[in-house]
Amino acid sequence: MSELVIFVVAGAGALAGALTLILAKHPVYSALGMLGTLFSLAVLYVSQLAHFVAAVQVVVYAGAIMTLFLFVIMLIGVDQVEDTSETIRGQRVGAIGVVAAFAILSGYLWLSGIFSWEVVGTGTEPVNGSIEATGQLLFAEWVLPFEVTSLLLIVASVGAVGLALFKPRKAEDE
Amino acid sequence: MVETPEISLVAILPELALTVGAVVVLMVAVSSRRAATYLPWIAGLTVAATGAGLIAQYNDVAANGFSVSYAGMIVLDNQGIVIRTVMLAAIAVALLVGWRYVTGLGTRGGEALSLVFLSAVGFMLMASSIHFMLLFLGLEVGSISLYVLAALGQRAKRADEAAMKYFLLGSVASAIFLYGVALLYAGTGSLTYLGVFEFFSGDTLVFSDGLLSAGVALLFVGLLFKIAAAPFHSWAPDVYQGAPAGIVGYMGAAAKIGAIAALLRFVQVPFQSVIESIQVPLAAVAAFSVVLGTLYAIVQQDLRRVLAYSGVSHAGFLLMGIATGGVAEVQVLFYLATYVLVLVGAFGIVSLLEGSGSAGSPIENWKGLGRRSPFLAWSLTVFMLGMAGMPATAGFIGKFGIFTRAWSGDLEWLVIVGLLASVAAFFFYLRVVVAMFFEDGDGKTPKLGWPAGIGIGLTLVITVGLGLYPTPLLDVLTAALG
Repeated sequence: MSELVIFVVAGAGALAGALTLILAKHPVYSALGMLGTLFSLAVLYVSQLAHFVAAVQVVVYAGAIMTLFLFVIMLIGVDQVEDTSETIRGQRVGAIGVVAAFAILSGYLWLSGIFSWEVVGTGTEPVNGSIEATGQLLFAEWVLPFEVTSLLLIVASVGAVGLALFKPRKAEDE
Repeated sequence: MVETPEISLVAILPELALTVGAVVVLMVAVSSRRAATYLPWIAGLTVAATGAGLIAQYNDVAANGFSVSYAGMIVLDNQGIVIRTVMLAAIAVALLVGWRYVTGLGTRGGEALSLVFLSAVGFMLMASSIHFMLLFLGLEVGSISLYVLAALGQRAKRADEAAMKYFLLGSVASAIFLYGVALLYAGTGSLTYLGVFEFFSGDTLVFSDGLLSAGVALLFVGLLFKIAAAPFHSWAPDVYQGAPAGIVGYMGAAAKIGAIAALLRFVQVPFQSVIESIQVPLAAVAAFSVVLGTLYAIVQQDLRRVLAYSGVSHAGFLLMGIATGGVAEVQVLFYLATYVLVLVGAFGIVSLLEGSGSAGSPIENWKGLGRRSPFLAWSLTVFMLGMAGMPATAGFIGKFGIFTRAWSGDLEWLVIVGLLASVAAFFFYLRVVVAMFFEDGDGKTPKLGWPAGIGIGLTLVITVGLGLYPTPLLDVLTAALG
């Protein structure tokens, strides 16, 4: 019962945040809405016993990435309202058409029943999502993907430096 | 108590060598004022060390057979070694013919060089990975490096457009691929190739058929995007046209090597027992790519767009071999090896004519090159004939092998489509040859340095040599993979 209450509250929070993100005119409100979604998801993770993922969610997403978003919004200027005019002719009609086609297709697939979901004995075995268990997996079984992820970070930082430190004059002279 | 998995350094030796090379390049580029004089030596040493790593791997496999390490993440076998060797050859030729791209970037040359090495690490990991997460990480390391390489050139409008398109569409493709992995995991409960194979070949209850098919489809779509197979090719022409000429050949080659390596393993292990279900869609994509690539290439007015659309049709030919299942691995690898080298060589010539940071190369510019620079004109002619599949070039042997396998694999209609397209393709491959030798023009006269000369010469020797006498390589490949 308590799990249901937590799910409903956190789920409603996540949905409300997501709607705010899309509908708010002011970018700062959008960012705050996203923050709400991220926190609500973290609560859901905790209720699934995935403590590590929840901690990462709060520290990395709500902490670091949201701060970055807010910085960018502040730098660009908070008083700018987004220009919602169409840049491609017929964009809105096309988008509605695609959404309608997608809805018809998914409705058909749903009714045809090939996506029917029959739970066969899953969820009986509790998964240990604690920080210790995650750490042991990460540094033992998953050590190679873990190291490859560090390569990804090198690529990202090299790319950022290479693209940002651009001096057009100098490069052309050489 | 943490149980450590089996750590096998020899399984990742080439990747290690390239990573160390990339890091050393970065350190030297930052700390030394005379970095430009050291970079060629570091690049050469890195390539040599990677080659030595591959030899060590080959000896290991010869002595102990194939081995799996890192808790079932990576396999060390001859197929992976062959693909990594192709990758290394592509790097070597690309750096030789495109070295001016690295020097032309000035202080950012170090970044470009290290990104070339790191992208190769990513795509090499794709070739030996037998785990979907590691495959995805390899794909991302490789792809993101290529996005940056596409954007590192001079700030021209068309180059920026190309880089942006490549980045956005590539990211979407990666997301699709990852979605496929997630659905596959939801459907099979396994992330390893072997686990998925056991799931499909066992009589496990499939509790959500649609979910699983959607996952497999998304997985393939993500990779088909990377090899620019139609209808997932729309990024290719603009990127091939707009990205810096000195590196775009390598970009196309590296992405194709990594994704084809992964697709080949897909049909060999995880999806082997359901090959009948995925054969038809794969063959359809192959046919569509071959036809569309050829037809669009005919109407292009820019050599780089011609090469892009021909790349679409080559992706189709490679898929033809993959659609037969795991039986055409030797032919697919031979085709892949010869095609990527010719691609890198051809773009090397484009960059010599147009400048290493240039965007676009109208056929106009090639008029009269036969008189201004006979060596380059003849080289490009050979490359074009090689891509078209002219007898006495490696391209013919590659196409012939794939057609034979597809024919005996009950894909006769696909072979007929491929044959017709190959004949039609001669038209656009020969058009630039006609422009170079039979039409007058007073465009630029390219300056050919010795590194580019060696690179193009090597590619020429391989293309013609393997066309006239392919038996040794085919024997080695058959022995290694058989």
